Amino acid sequence: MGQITHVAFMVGGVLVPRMMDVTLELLHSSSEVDRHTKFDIHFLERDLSLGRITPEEYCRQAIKCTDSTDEPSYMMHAIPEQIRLVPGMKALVDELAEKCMTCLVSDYPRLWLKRIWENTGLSSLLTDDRTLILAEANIPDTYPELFQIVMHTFETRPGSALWIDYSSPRTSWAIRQGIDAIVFVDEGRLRRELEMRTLLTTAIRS
Amino acid sequence: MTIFTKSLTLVLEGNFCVANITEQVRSVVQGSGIQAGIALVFYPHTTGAVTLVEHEAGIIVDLEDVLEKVAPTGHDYKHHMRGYDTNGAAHVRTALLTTSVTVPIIDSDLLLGTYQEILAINMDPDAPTRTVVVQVMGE
Repeated sequence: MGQITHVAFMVGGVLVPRMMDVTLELLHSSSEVDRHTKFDIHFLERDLSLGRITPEEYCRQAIKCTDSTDEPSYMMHAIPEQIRLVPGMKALVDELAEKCMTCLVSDYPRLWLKRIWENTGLSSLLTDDRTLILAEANIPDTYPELFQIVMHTFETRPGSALWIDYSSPRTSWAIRQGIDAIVFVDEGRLRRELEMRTLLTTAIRS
Repeated sequence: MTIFTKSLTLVLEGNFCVANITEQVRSVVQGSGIQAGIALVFYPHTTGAVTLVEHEAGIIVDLEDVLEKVAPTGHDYKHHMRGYDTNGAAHVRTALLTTSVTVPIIDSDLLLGTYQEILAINMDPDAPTRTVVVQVMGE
């Protein structure tokens, strides 16, 4: 691996919760969700991320498969409003931006991402030219095609890029493409891995 | 002695998808009311595993690479000849890994090493939802 100049974050599951988790929390107030519902929402999340369905369609179908009585229009508004940054991540992105270019790959559609940025204060750190919205990338699946597009969009190459993602298949694919990758567990773990790569200016914690 | 059992539902893409379930297991332990004892984490499927390992992306790739050498996905498994399915590699890999781990509990928390994390691995190409059973025993 060479010097890392670009760090790409997956938005859902790293900077903010996954769309699927937000949806289930919103529509299913009880703690137990059966496996079929989770399965359905998982695939809806994928279809929305890849631009196969619109946010409106996602809301309609999510409501249907959870037997919720909510209206799609309510959910369209409530999802981005419900989302909060994962604790500690704003400071971490801020610190990281001092040493390298931080880029985003969004599984959230543009409409919701814009609202999330306004609500979380991340809009000051991240601009359009550093954001790739998966739904607009016209790819059949999130990997392996994704990494070629990410390298092209952010004008970098595998040896100079670091991929941060909650998804283990995607981080594995990234590594196989020669891209350094960190599987996101929590902010503390991510910080430790970034410190090991000397990508943060803060001292290494004991 | 008290026994508390709870099932976790995981949505895992197939083939070799890893989920870090440490916090979910910890949450079950804390919700059980048991202060000292053991937690058994059991994967009740034949095409996946649970294991204790550092959740680091490189380790996951290394583990998959080793398993690919031992039980390659493209191998002509006898299991496939029965015509049910084509997940022979996942079955063999499961037999080589572990389908349960046991972790001591002290002060209502998991007694794990610094870098030990509980990972569930789904190796089935066609089964995205999986169950993990957590059984907490103690007082």
